[in-house]
Amino acid sequence: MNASRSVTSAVLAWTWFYTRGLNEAVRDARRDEIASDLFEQRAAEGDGRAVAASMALRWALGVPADLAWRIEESGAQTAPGRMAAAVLARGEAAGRWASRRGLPGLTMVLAALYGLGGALVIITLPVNNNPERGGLAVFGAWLIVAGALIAWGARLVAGRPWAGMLAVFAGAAPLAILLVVTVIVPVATLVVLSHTVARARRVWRDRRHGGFAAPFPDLPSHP
Amino acid sequence: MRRKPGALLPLEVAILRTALTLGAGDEGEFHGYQIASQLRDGGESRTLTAHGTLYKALTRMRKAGLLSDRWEDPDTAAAEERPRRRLYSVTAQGVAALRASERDQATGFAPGVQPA
Repeated sequence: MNASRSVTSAVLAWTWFYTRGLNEAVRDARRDEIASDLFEQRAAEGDGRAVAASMALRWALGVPADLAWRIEESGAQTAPGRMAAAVLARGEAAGRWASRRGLPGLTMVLAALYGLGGALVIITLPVNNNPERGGLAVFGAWLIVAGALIAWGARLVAGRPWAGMLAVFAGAAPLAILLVVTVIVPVATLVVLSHTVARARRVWRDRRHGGFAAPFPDLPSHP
Repeated sequence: MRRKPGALLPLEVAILRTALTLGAGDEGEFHGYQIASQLRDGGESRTLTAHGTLYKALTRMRKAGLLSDRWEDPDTAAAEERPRRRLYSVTAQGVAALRASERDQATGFAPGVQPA
């Protein structure tokens, strides 16, 4: 399976998920429309990795809008529903802003997320019962510094490309490495394990099938 | 900042302008990916507009009467071996809203938003 097909499947699964439980006509219309869009993009631009990356970016930047649309369509009038819609509207605006500005915009959104994450960690320290609050404070401060480094590097890169790249890298790399170790490696391990188990089961099944076909040794068990 | 009732968001202005000036397709109709690629090619955005953002805007514009929509004939889609398209076109109300927005822009009034 190539990359753009995998992204297509992931986006369709996400669309299926956030449209669950809605009015049938609304739900089916959104699912059909996204399926058509994904098909048209691949038909027009091909199946390369750049297209897969573009599709993944379109998906990721649109998630807040998807959720806001879901809240609107489900007619949630409760206070938490309205609050969630307001928060998602901000996320949607950030997605639009990043989409208009391309990669530099995405870099600034990433920097803002780092800063916001760090601020949240620090603000919630007084109500956090975690015994390692000192470590959390350092983590929050580090996130803010990383966000500032990324934002500074993104602005610097036009005039001093090497310094800009170094600043963005210094800000983004530690968390990226941490994610690779704590998320991507275990997920990849699970994928490899499940693939291996599935393959082993196929081999065992074929062997059993081969044993059954033994009365006809001249015929291949699988044409 | 709060959105003024009836005013257009920048993305909505871009969709209307692109659909009207670039000529979106047969009989002035366009589908989602088509308008996203024309927004990018026309310089309105650097990347293709995100799925969620685009279709939420199209839904909003359709409900506001700025766009009309129809699903294409399933036989046409089946003959071309692709999913059927939802085709949009700009309504007279959409044209009027765009003209009003451009007028506001020309007179220096920031359209689409007003202070809370």
